[in-house]
Amino acid sequence: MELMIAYTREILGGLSTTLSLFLVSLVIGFILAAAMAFIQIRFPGHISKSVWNLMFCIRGVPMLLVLYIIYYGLPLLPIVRETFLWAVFSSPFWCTIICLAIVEMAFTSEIMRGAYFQTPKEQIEAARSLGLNGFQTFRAAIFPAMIRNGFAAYTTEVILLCKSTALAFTVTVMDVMGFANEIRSRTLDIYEPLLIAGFIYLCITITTRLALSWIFSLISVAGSARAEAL
Amino acid sequence: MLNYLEQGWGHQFVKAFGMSFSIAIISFVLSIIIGIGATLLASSRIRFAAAIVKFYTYLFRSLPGILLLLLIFYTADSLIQSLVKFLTGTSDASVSPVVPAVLSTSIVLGAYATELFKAGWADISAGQHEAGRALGFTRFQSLALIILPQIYRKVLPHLGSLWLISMKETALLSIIGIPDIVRIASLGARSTGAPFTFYGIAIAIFIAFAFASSRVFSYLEGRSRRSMGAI
Amino acid sequence: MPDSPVARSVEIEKMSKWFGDFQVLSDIDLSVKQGERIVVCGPSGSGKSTMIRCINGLEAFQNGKITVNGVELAQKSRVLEAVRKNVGMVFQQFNLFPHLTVLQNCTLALTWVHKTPRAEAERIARRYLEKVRIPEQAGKYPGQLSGGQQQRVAIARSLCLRPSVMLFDEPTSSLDPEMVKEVLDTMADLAQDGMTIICVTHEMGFARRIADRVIFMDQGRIIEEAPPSIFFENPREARTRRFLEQVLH
Ligand SMILES: Nc1ncnc2c1ncn2[C@@H]1O[C@H](COP(=O)(O)OP(=O)(O)OP(=O)(O)O)[C@@H](O)[C@H]1O
Ligand SMILES: [Mg+2]
Repeated sequence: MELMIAYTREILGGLSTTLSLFLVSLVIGFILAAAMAFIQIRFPGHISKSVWNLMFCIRGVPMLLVLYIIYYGLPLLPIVRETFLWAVFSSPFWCTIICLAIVEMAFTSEIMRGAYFQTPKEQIEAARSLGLNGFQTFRAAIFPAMIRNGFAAYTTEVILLCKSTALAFTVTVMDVMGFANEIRSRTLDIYEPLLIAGFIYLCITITTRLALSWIFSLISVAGSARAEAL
Repeated sequence: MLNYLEQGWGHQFVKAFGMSFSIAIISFVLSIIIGIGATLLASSRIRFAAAIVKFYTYLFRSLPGILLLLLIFYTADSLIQSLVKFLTGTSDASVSPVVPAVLSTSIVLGAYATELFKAGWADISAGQHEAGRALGFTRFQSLALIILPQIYRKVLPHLGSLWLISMKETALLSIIGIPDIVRIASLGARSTGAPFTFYGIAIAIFIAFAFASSRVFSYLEGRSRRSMGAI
Repeated sequence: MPDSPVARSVEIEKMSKWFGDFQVLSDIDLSVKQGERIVVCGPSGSGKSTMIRCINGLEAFQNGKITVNGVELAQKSRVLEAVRKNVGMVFQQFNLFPHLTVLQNCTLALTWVHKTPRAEAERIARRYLEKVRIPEQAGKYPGQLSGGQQQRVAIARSLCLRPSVMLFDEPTSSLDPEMVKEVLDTMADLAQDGMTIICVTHEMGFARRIADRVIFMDQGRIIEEAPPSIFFENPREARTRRFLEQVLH
């Protein structure tokens, strides 16, 4: 018991790192995803197709490889090593953030794109026939429909991102998993550190789910009655 | 790049691809079996079965894959070792770590598969079960002839992504030391000092594989749509 | 010329439209005076929806010309937005915004497009909700209303912009029978007030009651065009007669 408390205390030392990995890459990933989805929607044809293919490729590659090539590969480039970029790419923490954000971008942009094209044509026509212009139509009809269609998938994606932060320890970041792993190799206790870390991750993901469903209820009032109507 | 391939890395990569691919395929199949089993269990009349299945999927959806893999891998490994010891009576019998590795990926992927099949199951209306019953099928016949084919069609697109996840999940096994593509790429990168080449090759393999898989699955989807007609 | 162009609300001249190789509309000529009530009917797929959707630019057409209140339609957003300020449209599926309350649905375009101050917009919206006889539902969401109520909100939403023409595309077709009457009554009220109405419907009783002219379309053409008394009692074309036999019995 004493030991468990000591381990827990040690592992909790990585909590703030795990949370910052998660939240920072979530925000950056969302912005990048919105940009990529926008490009794909706004410029149909070759541009859209090539961006889609790029996103597809990223989605097909294990995150571990993306992380390795950023962390081990990029510092070999003179342009990285000899410019301000070095400040970013010499830090395993920021390498992990970049990796997480890129992967998040690839998955979330597809969710956004899918949600955009699922918007019922009738909703757009209703907005248009009221005289709303392009941007107003987006705000009144398309964006709410995107949230209705995409929010569940986005929640899943956010949870996946949160879980993916655990790979950071492979490039020496000391997050929750990093400390658990450190204890594991130091003491040869396998189960205690992993179970403690697991419990911490469980708390984070449950909180995340609650937070997201709260946000969803905020931006889409009268949820159930409305959802049934559709 | 060519001289790396000549130094034997090409051969290494081919072997590693074989390793990743076979682990992925076995885990994929096992996870589907787990998924179907858990779905049937959840809809059975066994007490707490539904709650247990729900707990399994919820827990596995909420925990990092690498953490689960490590936990299951070490548990399975020590169980298997002691089982082998018990059966053969020798203490130095060793089982390849690939076996617990495959088990662990299967159980992790099984949680995804269970979600898929449960969703598919919920979509097939109670009417279909009753129709089967009314036609005089036994429970098993109506399952095999009526329900599962419909679920297959429903979940096929999702099985495509489960398959891609399976392949990607094998990458985590490199952390345990299984000689898969990522592991070989890391070894090569470290020993030759050319990480771009080696990780690049690994990434290219995965991308090519993803494109090939999506072709196969869209072919299968097209076929199942044609054979079943549009609903 | 018998009328000045302004007295003409909608003027369609030799309008044709294709979907790819398929010609949906051929040489449509239709002239609607201000305050006139037109009912359009015809078999499924005859192009009724397509025609009225052309009038507010939801569909582009290839040949001919449409003029709405003296403005010639063109697929330019400035022209379209100007025309749509004058043309209200009510759809078969209501198409209310599900995330907005009834009141917000009505005030949305007033505040965004017409830049009406919020209080004024709400006053207008409440007035028209009263007119369609559901003022008490203002705070609800569309999902909480019956089909008939939703359709009346959709009508109020269009009326708030004080359009000079109202287009209806089978407004009662997706309603349960007991709700059809409340919507038709609302539309009859509008007709009474002198609104220019172009309505696609198969409700022949309604057509007889309020229409100044009934238009029969088949295969993308206007086949017959007559006041209801003549149209129903003594149609000129055999195709019209066959159609009427089917819908009246
Ligand atoms: N977007 C489209 N692309 C191709 N063809 C279309 C499209 N929309 C309609 N059509 C075709 O145009 C024809 C006319 O359609 P329209 O919807 O105007 O008929 P309608 O008279 O309103 O029929 P209904 O009574 O069923 O509503 C139909 O044959 C339809 O299949
Ligand atoms: Mg129609």
